[in-house]
Amino acid sequence: MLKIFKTLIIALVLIYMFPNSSKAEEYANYNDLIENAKALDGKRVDIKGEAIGESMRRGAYSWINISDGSNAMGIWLKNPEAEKVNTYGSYKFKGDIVKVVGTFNRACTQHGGDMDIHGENLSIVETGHKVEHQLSEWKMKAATSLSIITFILFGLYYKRKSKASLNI
Amino acid sequence: MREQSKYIKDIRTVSYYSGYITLVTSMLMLIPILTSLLSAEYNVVLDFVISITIALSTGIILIIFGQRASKKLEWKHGLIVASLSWVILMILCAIPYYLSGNTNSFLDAAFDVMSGFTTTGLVLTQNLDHLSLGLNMWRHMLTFVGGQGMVVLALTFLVKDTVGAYKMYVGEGKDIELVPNVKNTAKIIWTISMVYLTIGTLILWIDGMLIGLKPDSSLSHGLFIFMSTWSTGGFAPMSQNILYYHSFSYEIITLILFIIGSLNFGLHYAVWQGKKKEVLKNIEVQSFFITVTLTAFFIVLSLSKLSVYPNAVALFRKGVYSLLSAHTTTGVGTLYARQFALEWGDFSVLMLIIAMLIGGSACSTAGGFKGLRVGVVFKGIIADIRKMLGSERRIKIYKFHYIKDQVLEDGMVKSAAFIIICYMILFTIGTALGTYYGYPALSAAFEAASVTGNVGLSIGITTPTMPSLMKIYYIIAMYLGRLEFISVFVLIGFIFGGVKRLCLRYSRH
Repeated sequence: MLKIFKTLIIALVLIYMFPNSSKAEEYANYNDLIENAKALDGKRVDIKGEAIGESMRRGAYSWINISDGSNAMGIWLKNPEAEKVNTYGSYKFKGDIVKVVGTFNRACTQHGGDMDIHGENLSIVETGHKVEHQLSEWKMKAATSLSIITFILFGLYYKRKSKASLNI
Repeated sequence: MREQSKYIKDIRTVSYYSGYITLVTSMLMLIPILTSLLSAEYNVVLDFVISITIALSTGIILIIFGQRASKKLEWKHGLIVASLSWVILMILCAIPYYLSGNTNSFLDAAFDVMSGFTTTGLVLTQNLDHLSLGLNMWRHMLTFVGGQGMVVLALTFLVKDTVGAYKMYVGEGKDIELVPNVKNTAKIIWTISMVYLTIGTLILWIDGMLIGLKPDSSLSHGLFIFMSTWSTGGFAPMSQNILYYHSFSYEIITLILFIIGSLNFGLHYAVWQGKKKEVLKNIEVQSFFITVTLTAFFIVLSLSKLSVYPNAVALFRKGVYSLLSAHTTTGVGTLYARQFALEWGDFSVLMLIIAMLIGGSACSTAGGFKGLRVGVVFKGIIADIRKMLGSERRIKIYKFHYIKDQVLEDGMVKSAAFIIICYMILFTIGTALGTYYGYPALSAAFEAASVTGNVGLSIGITTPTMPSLMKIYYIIAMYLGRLEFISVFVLIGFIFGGVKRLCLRYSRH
């Protein structure tokens, strides 16, 4: 019992002394990663963003790209982790918001110097959905009126052209 | 009074031909309309219907107001038509951008259009990763058409007066005649581009599927990336640019495409006709090879010294790739903009600036002050030194090879040096403006070289939040850099001449 108690105390002291060694730093703005890339190289990070485009399978691993709204970052993951993402962001969809824990690489040795994250696990924070693009009424009215004006102008032009050719 | 009516006549002639170029280029909007219809992006269809009707109406009004040249088209007409058409089209082609809501202002939309037309590739459009297929098609089409030239496009279809056509063609910064008839030259330029479009898209499509893209998106990505790289543009459908694909093979294909794209159309045509030795003899290829080797050597040396990349593959994929992208004035990238400033070190950035300013070949899709001019000025200096060292009685003729053997004349060297000086002035003003707004000198120089040379790489200055005056200056720099000054100077002179006449007229009354 005393042995267990001592071990627990030592463990708690160690956790207290090195709180950051086991906890990944959280990043939602990738500019912080880019600006501090040298300092963060090889560190465990916790990154949040919208999955965009599509996943690209490469053997047992896949690439997915996630975006913070202004920058996007490549995540290298095992296929089962990547497959957790159902919706990728595009014109018609808002992608899943995902949280990835992994190792940040300023210039990845394995991937030709890419700045990337080798993810260990991925979790869905918010599921993606279809984005409805409502047809704008004023745009419909403008398109119709402008089309009529253009047809009239073309008519005027051809009338003038045929008149000119008759005069010749 | 007579002078006054001559001026009005000039305006009507310019209006007539500018109208035709506007009309033909506006018709291109039918392609994004079709793309949006097929991908059920109906709101985007409306954006393009509004835009095409405004653009067609403008073209028709210009033609109705204008008058076809009664005799042959004068040089000033040709040059003004080319430069004015670019301004008119910049405004008209920006409408779909603005209506999409992806730009913060019309100025940002106009910036992106000029960036596309001039094959620069800098972007102010927001939320690229959620852009519609229709607008993406439009962005990449603009850079593809801009690479060959809107005047070249119009000449292919319309103008019968080939003597006048050549003058408009020169106004767009091109001067090579592949065949005696300029209309057929324009057709050859388009044929070359369309053949490469088919082959390049097919290769990228297949490779895209191999690296894990779905067949349909691989095709659209392949087409967009081809249009961007072949035209040395720099746009990409995703915000990460080429980094999005995380693929060495994709990078190699794009590298080959933008190097080929940066070569002179005359060289392509010569090779197509079986004159393969032209590749080795051509002064531009020699100049390009020398400057690429030197700048790449120094960049690799500097990046290795700073231990920026962990191995040779990374050094090639980041260092050499970026250098070639800069030198060919393409601007596609596999790095984040800020990485240049934060990691590369001043010397490597300086090498990139030099490469961006030199650029690709004359009469190609590339920008910069061009390998031909560097070669001609260099040969001119060598010739002068030899003349000074040699006997005064001996007259030696110096030659260089550019499609055919040509005699190096003083006039040629002077005009090449004049254009280089103009580029340097444009670059210096851009750098000064950047530093005025508080950006570090080297970063300001990098961005100024990128816009002047129509490159598109950024060190992080070009953002929607940058000062409006800088956006306007960058638009002007991209425009001047692409059209190579003369036609724009003629347009400015013409406008000032008109204003002067108006002032005189009112002062007399």
